[in-house]
Amino acid sequence: MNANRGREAAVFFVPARRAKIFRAPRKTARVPRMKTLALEFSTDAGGLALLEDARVVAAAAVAAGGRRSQELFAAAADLLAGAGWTFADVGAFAVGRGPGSYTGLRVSLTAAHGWALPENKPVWTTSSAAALAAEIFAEQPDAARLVVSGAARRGTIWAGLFGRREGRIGDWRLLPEDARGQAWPDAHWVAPDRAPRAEWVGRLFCAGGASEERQPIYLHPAVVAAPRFGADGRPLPPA
Amino acid sequence: MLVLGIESSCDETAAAVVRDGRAVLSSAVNSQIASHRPYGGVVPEIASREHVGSFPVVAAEAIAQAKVAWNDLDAVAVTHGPGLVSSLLIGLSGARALGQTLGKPVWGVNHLEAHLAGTFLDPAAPPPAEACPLLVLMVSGGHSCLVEMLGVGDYRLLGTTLDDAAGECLDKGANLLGLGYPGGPVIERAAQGGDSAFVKFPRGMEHARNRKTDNGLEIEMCFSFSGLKTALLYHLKNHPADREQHLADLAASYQEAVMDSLAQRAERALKVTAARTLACVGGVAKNASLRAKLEDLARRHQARLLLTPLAYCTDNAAMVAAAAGLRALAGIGNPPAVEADPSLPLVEEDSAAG
Repeated sequence: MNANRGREAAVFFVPARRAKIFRAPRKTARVPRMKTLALEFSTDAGGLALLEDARVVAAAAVAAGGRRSQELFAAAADLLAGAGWTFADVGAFAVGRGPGSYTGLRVSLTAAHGWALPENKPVWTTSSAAALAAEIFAEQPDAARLVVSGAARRGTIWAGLFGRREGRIGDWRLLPEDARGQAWPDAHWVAPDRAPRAEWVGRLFCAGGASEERQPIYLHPAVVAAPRFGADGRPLPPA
Repeated sequence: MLVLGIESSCDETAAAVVRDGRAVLSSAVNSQIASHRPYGGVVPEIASREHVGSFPVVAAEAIAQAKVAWNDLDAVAVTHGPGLVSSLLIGLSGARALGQTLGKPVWGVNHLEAHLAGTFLDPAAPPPAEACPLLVLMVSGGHSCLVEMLGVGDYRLLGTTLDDAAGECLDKGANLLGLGYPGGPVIERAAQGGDSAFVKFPRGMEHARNRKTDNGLEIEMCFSFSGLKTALLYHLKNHPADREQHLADLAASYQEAVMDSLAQRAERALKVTAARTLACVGGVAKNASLRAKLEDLARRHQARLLLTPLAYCTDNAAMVAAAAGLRALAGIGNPPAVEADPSLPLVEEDSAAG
């Protein structure tokens, strides 16, 4: 994590629009451009984006929360067709891994794995919150520190502190719902209705840096009740 | 026809390549038993988390083991139900993505039909057309039923469990006896040398005659295991010393009650159907005592017995690819895999009564 924080931060200073200036003109380009399909499904306001190098070519909002998770497949096909691309053109998949909706994250990550498998293409992940932080830092040139938060069920919210240069600072925190805005009083809390977007997941990938784990971020353990064991080490029946 | 099967309906992530519905070129299974053991049963949230990491590994392994190229595949077949919805979604999503990028169809397979198809993964088994009508005892941790197979894709449900599945009943019994998880194998091990007549446990609905369930099934061909579990609980309360002194006898008696009621209902079904071939599929089909009972049953009724190879009794993807392949070759076709259906029935409700 620490190793790539500096590189993640770089995108905050060089928005993709400006990177265009330095690129060789189309006619003389010899190196094939890297085409990326980015996925962000940590909230109900999910979405997909196509990037060519660091430039966003097309994007689509996909309301694929919960029961509608499978709509992602038709949306991906439509988006590619609209851009005149096929899956064969896509060189890498960038996926937001939360925190957020378990179903959305699992389905999008597994879809990326499936698309990537036959030709062993890279699947790269970042926290979705980092993508949102990058977008807000680009919008607010004066902001130095941001807190990104979201609903974490069971009466809690999750929150992460981001620095413009440092990337994520410290661990994710689980806080009571009514503590929104209270922790990290010096940082600006991003409005809870702002959702991370696939475009920014893609931009973080294009800025370089190592992939995070290819698993959703889980802030709750899978099982709340710990198993009980007898004196002989064998599990006991549930109480 | 080369089909890649994907299975993730419960706690096994699996992928397999099968040619023409019968020849298994590879079968990769990642079992999560160790992760669920401390809880005495499958924890859906643990299962979903593990499927995400296992899916790409298992799928790549199936292709590598089969020594085929991704583009050699004719189709991808995936279990779309029944099962745990959050687990089904992983296999479904991975399969749909693979099909999309390969430009191949993605077929949805019924998990129960896949278990039936497992019968034909034994190279010695006859082709389905020759084996039908086939009486199938389907017994696993999640399902227990009796099905008459009239042809590929043509099934008649004869009986089902009214409460727990047989494997679930074994899990609960093993838990009460402090034997661990999963119940089937640990009870079978503990029962060795035990007296299966030590306690006469109930056979659930043993004496029900001429009564039908709400959906028109004959109760005499249905199973009930909830009373058996309660009987063991009370036996242990009333004879606490037996847990130490008669563990093998209790395990043997409990296992006997489960297997005897399965064989008993299979025999009743054999008497009322035209089927002269009997098959047993699902994880519980691994049980040696059940296999012996069915062999005896088949001998007494001059029926042919088809036992699923041990490797394809518990959940696997070879049976999924096989089911899809058999349907395609029989000209019935497979539905496209679109959504996960946690309660997908094998037989439509209105035809359950036959």
